[in-house]
Amino acid sequence: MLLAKIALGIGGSVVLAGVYAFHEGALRVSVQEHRPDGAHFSLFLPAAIVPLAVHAVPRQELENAFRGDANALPLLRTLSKELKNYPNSDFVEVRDGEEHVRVRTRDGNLQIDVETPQETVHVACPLEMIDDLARELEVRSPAA
Amino acid sequence: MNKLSRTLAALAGASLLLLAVSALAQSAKQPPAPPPPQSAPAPAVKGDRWLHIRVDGSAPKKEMVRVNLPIELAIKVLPAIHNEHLNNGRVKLSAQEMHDADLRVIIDAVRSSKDGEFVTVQSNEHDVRVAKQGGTLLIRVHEKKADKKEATHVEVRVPMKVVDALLSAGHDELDVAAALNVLAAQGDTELVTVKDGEQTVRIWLDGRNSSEEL
Repeated sequence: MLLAKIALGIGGSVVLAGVYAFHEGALRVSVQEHRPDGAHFSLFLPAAIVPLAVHAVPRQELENAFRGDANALPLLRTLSKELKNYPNSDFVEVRDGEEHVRVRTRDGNLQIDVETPQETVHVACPLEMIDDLARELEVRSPAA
Repeated sequence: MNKLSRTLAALAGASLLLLAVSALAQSAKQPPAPPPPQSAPAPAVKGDRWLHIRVDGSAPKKEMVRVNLPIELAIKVLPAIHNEHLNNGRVKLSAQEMHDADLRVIIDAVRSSKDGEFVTVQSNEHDVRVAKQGGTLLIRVHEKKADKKEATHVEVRVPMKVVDALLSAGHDELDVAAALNVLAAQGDTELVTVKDGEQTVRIWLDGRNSSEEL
């Protein structure tokens, strides 16, 4: 009986942690190379943990990443915040020969799809996550 | 709490957990890529104004560009961009770009004049017409080619209020943010059309979030 209660407690905590981790959706990245021995890379991460991962990045690396472009983070935040106010929209679509690029929003996600003869890339990223990430980076950036 | 209540509470808790696990399993079953089935773009919210850019190339490559930009978004994002040329929604013009012409004087002259044609040039190579019609600055250029299919037609329509707003900053600045603000208040407007042998370009403003033809 005690064992069952412990299992229930652990199971409940795991479920709650899972539900919390996915409450903001998930970051999905897929890269498929179109050649015989081409790689296929897929990433599926709960959006809530991405901004937390910033804490693991050394401050020096952040300084290097944003050196010379102090506007990037406020711009990213404004963009993600504003995009949430619009319905599903196709913002950019470019087709040139066999290359096709689309930038759009779907159900609170920013989607970037790139198809070329060499590879296919799909990125789906919750706008809420971009906002959180930009805010977190702003706090930890050297200018803060 | 008696044994029955404890058992019922444990059963209720377990059922909730099972439901949550089942819901999580459903979401985890979704393949990571490609993105989930797409719903079509939703109609724009009433009152939103969208700037559209549409480029259609001719065969064989048939290149295509579609840009749909909410004016409100551009107005809010522009002040966040700061670089050498664009600052606080204003574009700095260099003296070279101005070609020693005082744009403000020219526009003032156009604004204060009555509707009509200002410039008409007709030659074997080009036809150019600059006019003002009902508060709109109209520029038409027709570049002639031996093969009529290769000829280029350019038509630009800019409401004078937008031109005024664009020039409302300093002498050597264009206030893009102010121009967008005024543009947002305009009705559906065809701004630029370019047609030549290779491609067609359209820039226009309306209340839809899609650039596909109705």
